[in-house]
Amino acid sequence: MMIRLSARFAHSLLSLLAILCFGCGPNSTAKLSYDSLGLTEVTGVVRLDGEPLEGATVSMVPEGSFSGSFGTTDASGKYRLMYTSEKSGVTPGVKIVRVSTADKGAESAPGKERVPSKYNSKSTMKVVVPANSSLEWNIELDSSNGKVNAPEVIKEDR
Amino acid sequence: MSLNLPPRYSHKTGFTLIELLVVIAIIAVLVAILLPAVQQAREAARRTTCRNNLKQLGIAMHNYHDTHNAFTFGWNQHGFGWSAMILPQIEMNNVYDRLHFRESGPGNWNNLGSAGNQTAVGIVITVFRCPTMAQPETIYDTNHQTDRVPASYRACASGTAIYDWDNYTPSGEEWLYNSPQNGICYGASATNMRDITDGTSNTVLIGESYTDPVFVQDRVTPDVWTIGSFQIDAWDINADGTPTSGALSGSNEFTEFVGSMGAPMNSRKFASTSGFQKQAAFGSYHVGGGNLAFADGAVRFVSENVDFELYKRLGTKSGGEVISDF
Repeated sequence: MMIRLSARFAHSLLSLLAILCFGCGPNSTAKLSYDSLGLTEVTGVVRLDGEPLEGATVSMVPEGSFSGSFGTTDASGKYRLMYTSEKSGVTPGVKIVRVSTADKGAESAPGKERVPSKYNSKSTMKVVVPANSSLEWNIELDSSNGKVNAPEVIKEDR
Repeated sequence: MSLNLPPRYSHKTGFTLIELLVVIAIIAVLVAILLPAVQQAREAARRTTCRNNLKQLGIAMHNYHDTHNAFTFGWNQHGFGWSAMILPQIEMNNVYDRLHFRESGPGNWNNLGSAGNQTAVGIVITVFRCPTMAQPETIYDTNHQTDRVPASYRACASGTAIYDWDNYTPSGEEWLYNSPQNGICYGASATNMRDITDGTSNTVLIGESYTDPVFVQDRVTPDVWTIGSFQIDAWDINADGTPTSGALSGSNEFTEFVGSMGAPMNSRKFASTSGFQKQAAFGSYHVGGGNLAFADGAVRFVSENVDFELYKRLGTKSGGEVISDF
């Protein structure tokens, strides 16, 4: 059980080890802890008169507030509500639901509104979001009828 | 005599495996002890550089005040931030000379063909950047200017504001759009030293910010830049500093240049704060707080655990509040 190593080899091995130990220091952006918020995953499809609605912003925001969760629909109408750009979900509580193709936030120019105002600026759709759950909600919008389907877990709060 | 010895005692150079392992173990222990200390020393050096940057900017603001008898505005209706105005005071005249201060035509931020302002925002000026900030030197911003330089420092516009944009209508002083604000550098402001009745050592002039142009919450981003922005040009105000109603050709991204003490320090590091607070708040990539430059030129590291009421008072220039020691 004896291995001969040349001094030069051992030296270079130790240098390599030292270099490996000194890697990059902790220098990344803040890692936020979202666990205490009780976020509930909300996904689904938005359809307007049966057709998938592309490029619409779906939002769930508490009444009288501007801070909540937002999602944008893709070509097949699918959305996922995001709390931040790195974390999906909606905080629990009573939220007002809005669907709009015009409102794209402060940092983008507004688009053309294709959704009736009863679903966005004049929305009275209230839902109660539970904590630490996962929901799939297909939002069926009707340009003639103001009613929206709500799944069992998200009940309309009246 | 050596001919009869077993090979073990011959004079060939070499280590046994055990010896090698022992050496490696000793080195590993030493590295484990020293590495955190070394990294902390490096961070302490970066923090000191950051304090020095703020000190230089504070002195530049004072020199500007000496020349023009007022502190510079936080932003103006031409899309320029405070950092553009003090360029001559930090020996960046060559950059300042490239800028076009016009409402329209070449040099307007909306005109993407204009070279002067567009290239100026791509010039890395190290005094505007904290070395701890984990952001690249330039970021390709597809919506607006290409190759913009993220910055670390913002002037303090308010001790109460949280929002900057007009799509929402919060009341009075919560809204950066409302002018005058209660800090030193806000929209088209010209605050004189005598206006700071709370005392220059009790009022924040410039603060460090947690800049992160990739992060989005509530559809706003905590992005901070130097010199000027497409997204403020043109901010429509009346001669008395009050905003005109509607008819905006630009946007209201004032938080790219000013911060507010109305949002808690380091809001970006806590999941429960809103996107607006994360955007407006001062903060830093350092641990536990951030550096703030006061109007008297002093730079202090303020903890993120500081009493929030006291913290807000530091943002107002003439609130008349009592400031206890912090």
